[in-house]
Amino acid sequence: MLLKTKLKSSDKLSMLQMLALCPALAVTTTISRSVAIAGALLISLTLSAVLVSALRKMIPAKLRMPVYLLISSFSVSIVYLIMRAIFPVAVTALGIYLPVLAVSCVMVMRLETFSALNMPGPAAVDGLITGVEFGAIMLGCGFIRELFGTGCLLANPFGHGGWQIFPAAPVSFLVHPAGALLLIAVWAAIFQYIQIRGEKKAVENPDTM
Amino acid sequence: MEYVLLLLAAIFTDNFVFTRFLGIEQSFISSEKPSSAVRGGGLVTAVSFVGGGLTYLLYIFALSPLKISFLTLPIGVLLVTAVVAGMEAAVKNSTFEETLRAQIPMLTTNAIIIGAVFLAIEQKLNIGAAFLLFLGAGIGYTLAALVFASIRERISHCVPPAAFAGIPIMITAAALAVMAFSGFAGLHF
Repeated sequence: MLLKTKLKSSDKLSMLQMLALCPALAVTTTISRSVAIAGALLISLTLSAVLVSALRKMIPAKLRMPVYLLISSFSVSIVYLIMRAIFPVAVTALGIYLPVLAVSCVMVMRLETFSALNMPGPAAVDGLITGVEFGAIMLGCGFIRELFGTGCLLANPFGHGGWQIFPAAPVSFLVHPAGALLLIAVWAAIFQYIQIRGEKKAVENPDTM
Repeated sequence: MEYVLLLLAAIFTDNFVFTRFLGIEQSFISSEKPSSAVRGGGLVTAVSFVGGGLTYLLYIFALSPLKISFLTLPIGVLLVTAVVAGMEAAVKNSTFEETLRAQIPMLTTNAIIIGAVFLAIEQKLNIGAAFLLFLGAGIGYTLAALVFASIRERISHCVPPAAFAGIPIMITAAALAVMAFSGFAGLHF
């Protein structure tokens, strides 16, 4: 019930949020890496959302940014230590991008605009949903970049093994950083196109809305 | 000589914004005009050099010998915030205050600073090299923000397709800039 109302009222992924995703996009060259970074984002975002909303009455308004950053960096540290114990390979492959999640715009934006104003329950749900939304984009990116950039699927985080789908890399350009940006640009354009079409429809027949 | 090359590599071949995507959102948002991009870049360079440098010194002399290096991330974030707050106090009541205040959210959540610290730790750089890396990261960010600001000025005179208007065309242009910068990748100093 809560989930449904949240899904309906949740502001759609805005374009600026797409941009906020960029640092994490640098590592989404394969599906396995995307899963690792998306999982880390999901868990640490949910954790820090719950913490911020539980402490929201104790955080002075003037000091809120440092406190949010501190909470998010602690939750990312926790996720980092857990991941290092369970999947050491994934931590090596993600390198500096795992700690950098703590200061990413996604995190701070969600904490400031939602968690700081709501009870821990809804904040946790919001964190989960945002994590899943971003995770879906990252997974899509990882899938396209791995399939067309290397010609394989489901290689390990260092790019070895996996099923050979194409005999050679069809669009090896996609593995490069510029390829990721171009992919995200097309993705954002598709979102915008759908939005524009929706608005046009709403103007043409306002009764159905 | 080695140090000069390290600095050049951090600015051009391994530019943090173009090859690692760190701080790309800030360089997009803050670069409305070339002049403001340069000012913001100068602030990021200063914070990266001082805040990043302090964090790295603390890591080398305290956190690493005491085997509490898992605290590097929270301590680094705190130190960077403290440096930004210190800068804010230093320029109080001066003409520079307004500029700085507008840039503060960009500074504290800038991934370049934390990313550079962790890169230095990962590559086990010595202290001098690490400081040069932080300086180079900031200068590279300034360069990227300047490039984006100039692109933005040109785009404001164009009429892109409706679906691409706004952010998508900016990202496309940025992708082309990144491609141009990948030309530096062939340089091996």
